[in-house]
Amino acid sequence: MDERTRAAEHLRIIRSLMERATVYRAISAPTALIGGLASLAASIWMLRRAGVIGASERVGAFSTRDFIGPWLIVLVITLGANTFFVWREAQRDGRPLFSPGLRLAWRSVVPSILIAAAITFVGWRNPSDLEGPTILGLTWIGCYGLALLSTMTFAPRSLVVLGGSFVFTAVFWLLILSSPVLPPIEELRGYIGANFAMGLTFGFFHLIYAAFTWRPERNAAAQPLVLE
Amino acid sequence: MLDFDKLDKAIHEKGRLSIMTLLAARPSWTFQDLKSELNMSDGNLVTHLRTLHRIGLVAYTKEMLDRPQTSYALTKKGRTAFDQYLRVLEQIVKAGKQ
Repeated sequence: MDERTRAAEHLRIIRSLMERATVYRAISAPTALIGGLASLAASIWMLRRAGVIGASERVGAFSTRDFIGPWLIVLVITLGANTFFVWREAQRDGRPLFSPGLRLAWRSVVPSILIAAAITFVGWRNPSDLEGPTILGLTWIGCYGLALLSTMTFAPRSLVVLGGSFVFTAVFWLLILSSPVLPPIEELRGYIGANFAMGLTFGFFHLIYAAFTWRPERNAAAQPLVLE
Repeated sequence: MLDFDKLDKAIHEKGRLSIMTLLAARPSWTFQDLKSELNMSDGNLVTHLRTLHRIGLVAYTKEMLDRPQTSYALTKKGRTAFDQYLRVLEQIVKAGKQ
């Protein structure tokens, strides 16, 4: 190997390692696709249950627990899918499941997740509060956005945009609900409004993110880093 | 005319270059993290780190957490050497394209 070829090879190693060490995508496109589809399905099912979709009249009030339960199932499905995809990528690259990037991402997002979990616990304990779903839904959306933004120093730009979209939606929704100028829009609050917001953000936003970040399986001919 | 002797021979080896690159990307790395990221054996990694430490490019700190943990970082000399090495590499590749 002549010196120029060797120099090019070394630059490739440097670039590859720098990307691996400095950029970590906490949410992959397949995870976003599954999470987005599950969220949209849950949102549509809950809106049908409330009589908003496919019924002539609205059905009675729903408790905060009616709202929390299905969304916890969506969370479990999405976390399960994410764990599988992270594990598969780790297997393919011959790296441990809990890579330094994954641990760094976890450390960054834990504070926001803890706040969301604590408010969910309070909501579960007060199931009769009719505004509970609105508060919970917007808290989840806002905290999730903040969690993604907390990884901005090592996340790709698409993930930062996704986080910003969640935070913006939560703030905008809250401002509209409490606006002294606009007439009250009942569809934006309570069980119905919260499910609209969840479907829009966790469903629709994730599907857009998946579409923009989807890449075909890594080229098998791509040279792996072989150091030994 | 390019002078290949300008390339730092201590860095111009795949294993040590990889270590230097990771250390340049983040403030510090534990031994275990370096090992898992680079898929190197303990012995090989220790040998390279000792070499880099001996010539003053890498510093290490030992901590006693729930078990002993050694972290590695680039020294000022190490960062300068790495930047210089990158510049020379780029010149070589550019010259090859012309």
